[in-house]
Amino acid sequence: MYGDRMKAQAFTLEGVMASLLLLVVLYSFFQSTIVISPMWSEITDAQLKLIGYDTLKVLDYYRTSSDEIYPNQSLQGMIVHLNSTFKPNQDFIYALERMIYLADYRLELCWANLSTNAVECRALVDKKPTPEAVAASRIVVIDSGEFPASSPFYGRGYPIVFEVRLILWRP
Amino acid sequence: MASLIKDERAQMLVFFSLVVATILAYLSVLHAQNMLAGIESSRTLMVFPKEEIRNLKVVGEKSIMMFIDDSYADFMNKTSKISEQIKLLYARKGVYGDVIAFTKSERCYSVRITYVSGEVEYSDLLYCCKGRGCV
Repeated sequence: MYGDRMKAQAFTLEGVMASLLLLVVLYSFFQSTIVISPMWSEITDAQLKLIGYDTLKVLDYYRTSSDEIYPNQSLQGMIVHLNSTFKPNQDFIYALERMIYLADYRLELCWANLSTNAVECRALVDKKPTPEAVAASRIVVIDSGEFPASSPFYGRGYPIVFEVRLILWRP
Repeated sequence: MASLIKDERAQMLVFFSLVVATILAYLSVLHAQNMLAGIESSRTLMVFPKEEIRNLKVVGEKSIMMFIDDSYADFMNKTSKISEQIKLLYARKGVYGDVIAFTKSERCYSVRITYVSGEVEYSDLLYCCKGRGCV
């Protein structure tokens, strides 16, 4: 009788040991699988970045002949019609905001000054981004002859390369 | 107590739990490896500057084509100005980016696209003709 009781206790003890062993392994199993690189914080905003690149690509307009006029909604049309205030036209803003709907944005225009070898930038839509903001950019080339006299880029005598930067974030 | 010494039935419990634990540990390592591989490959895909490279190719194909009807000297002067500006704009991001046209006939030109960053080195040569596009 006494021997059977001891046997039962030993079985119980070993059962507890076995379950503890499995528990430890299962715990380490779930702990070891949550290994996500903390450096890559942008992975969650990858979708927003893609929207930014797609928007700029859609707004980039390729002319088939030099007689064609750039539409107001295009990147080129917006840049050509800029004046000293650097305020984009309303058609462009409307088209841009429809495409990035629900995201807040900041728009910058950069160009290289060949006489000083420096890059100059202006904020066309000046809003303060959050730390989670993502940026997309696009290079466009516009010939000097396209700019009207009211443009700050008038009379350069060579094609000007612009970088349009679109910074997006969730409000 | 003496009856337990030669009783190996309970030990089988521990033995089998050890076997199951080993299998689970092996599976967890395999699972963790797969997760890491998935994260790293998606990260590499995201970091690869495909949009920037496509953009430079578009500049080489479409923007330089705007000057194909110019004289040889004008074409070379304008495209070298474009190249200088692109280099300056990309240098600001710590990247060497360039689009440089180097030969021109009446309807065709050759252009070299270069993109070099800390992680990616890309170079391509395009031969573009008016009305036929680039190859």
